[in-house]
Formats: sequence, structure tokens, C-alpha cells
Amino acid sequence: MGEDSALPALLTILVADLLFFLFFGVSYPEVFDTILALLPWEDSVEKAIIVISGLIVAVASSAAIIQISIRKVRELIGGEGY
Amino acid sequence: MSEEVGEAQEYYEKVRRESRETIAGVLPTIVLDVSAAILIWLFGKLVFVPIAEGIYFFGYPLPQILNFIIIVALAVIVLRILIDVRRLIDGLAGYAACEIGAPYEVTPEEVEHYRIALRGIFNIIVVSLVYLLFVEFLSRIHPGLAGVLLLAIVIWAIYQIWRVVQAVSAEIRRYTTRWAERALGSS
Repeated sequence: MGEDSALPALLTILVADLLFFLFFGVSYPEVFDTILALLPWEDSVEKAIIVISGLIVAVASSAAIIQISIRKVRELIGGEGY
Repeated sequence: MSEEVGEAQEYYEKVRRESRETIAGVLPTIVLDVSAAILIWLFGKLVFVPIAEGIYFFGYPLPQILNFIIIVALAVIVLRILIDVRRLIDGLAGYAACEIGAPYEVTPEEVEHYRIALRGIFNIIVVSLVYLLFVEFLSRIHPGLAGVLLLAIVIWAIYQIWRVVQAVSAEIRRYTTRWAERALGSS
């Protein structure tokens, strides 16, 4: 995957991840609990695993987005003869 | 004599060029890194920690685990920001010495004084902001952590202010001495 397509893909992952937890986790916790009840494991452990993975995905995708943006800005500045 | 003036002019041009290059290269990186830190802090505080309230992961409270993950991520980003801020300050110090100091009379000593002064001020601002960013997460891990860290920051800030005052007073002394020499020389 090239850098041009990586940036929109990472942004989509981050927005989808945040929207999922914002809507189902914060705004509609009862829907979130219903989704968790459908899974076969114990509620507390599976909820913890989902929340931790959600946070790690959000942190990793933000870090990658910033890394790519910095590289792009450096290329842009380098191209202007600084 | 003309050789000395030529060397001074060369040093002035070198400092000015390098400072501009450093500022142009580092500033966008700092802005983006700060955005990333604020973003991670915001979604940690507003989205993930509220969901984690009351959940235990193999006996450990989930909010504390999440706070630890957020602190580690923020620490890495903040470390990068601090390194870049130091580079930016070096650039700003060189630029300030060229702009404030008389043209073609910039000495390495003058640049160093501006560097110490700017570094001290920026360090105090950056460390205070970083403390504000971390204080909530630290308090959730243990309330004493935030207090001990604040005490250490206050002592360190006093030392930094003392260094800044020393550097600025050295520059003021230099300028007043030169002004007095000129004033006495012309009378």
C-alpha cells in the first residue's frame, strides 16, 4: 500500500474505531452490552479486551497518521528549497 | 582588520541560515506531534476511560490499565516533542541573536546566552503543559504521584529561572558596557 492510500485508510480506521466506541460505548451503552451478550465469553473479560484493543488501534492509527503527515510536510518543505 | 570583519560576517550569515532552516524543519513536526498528543489525551479521557469504569480485567481495574497505556503513548510523543523543541530553541536563539544583536557583530557567546535564556523559558512552559497533560492520569494511578512530581517541577523551575536571569543579565551587562564605552568615547 502506497503512502497516498495509507493515509485515508488509517483515517477511516481511526474514525470508525472512535465512532464505534463513542456511539455504542458512551452514548448507547445498552446496545454495547447487548452486542457483548451475543459473544460466547464472560462479559467483563470480553468487554475489557474490546476496550483495550479499541484504545490500542486508536493510538497506533493516530501515531501512524502523524508519522506519515510529518514525512509529507518534510517533503513539501524540502521541495520548496529550505 | 578586514579579515576579522569578513569572519564575523561569515559567522553571522551561517547562524542566520542554519537558524531559519532549523525553524522551518522542526516547527511543523512539533505542531503535528502536539496535535497527536492532544488527540490521544482527548479520546482517552472522553471515550475509552468512561467506558472502562467498573470493569475488571483479571482482577485489575480497567481504567488504570487504560491510563497506563495512554501515559506510555503520551510519554513517547512528549519525548519526541521535547527533542524537537530543543532543536527549535537552538534555531530561535540563533535567529534572535542575529535580529536583536547589531548586524555582523554576533558572537558564539551571545548566541549561547540567548540559547540558555530561551531554553529555560521554553522548558518551563513545556514541562508545565506536559504536567497538565499527565496529572489526571497520574492521580488515577496514585494521588501522591502528582504531588511529588509538582514539587520536583517547582524546584527545577526556580533553578531554570535563575539560569535565565544570569544569561539575560550577562547580555544586558555587555550592551550597557558597549553603550558606556561609546558614550564616553564620543564625549
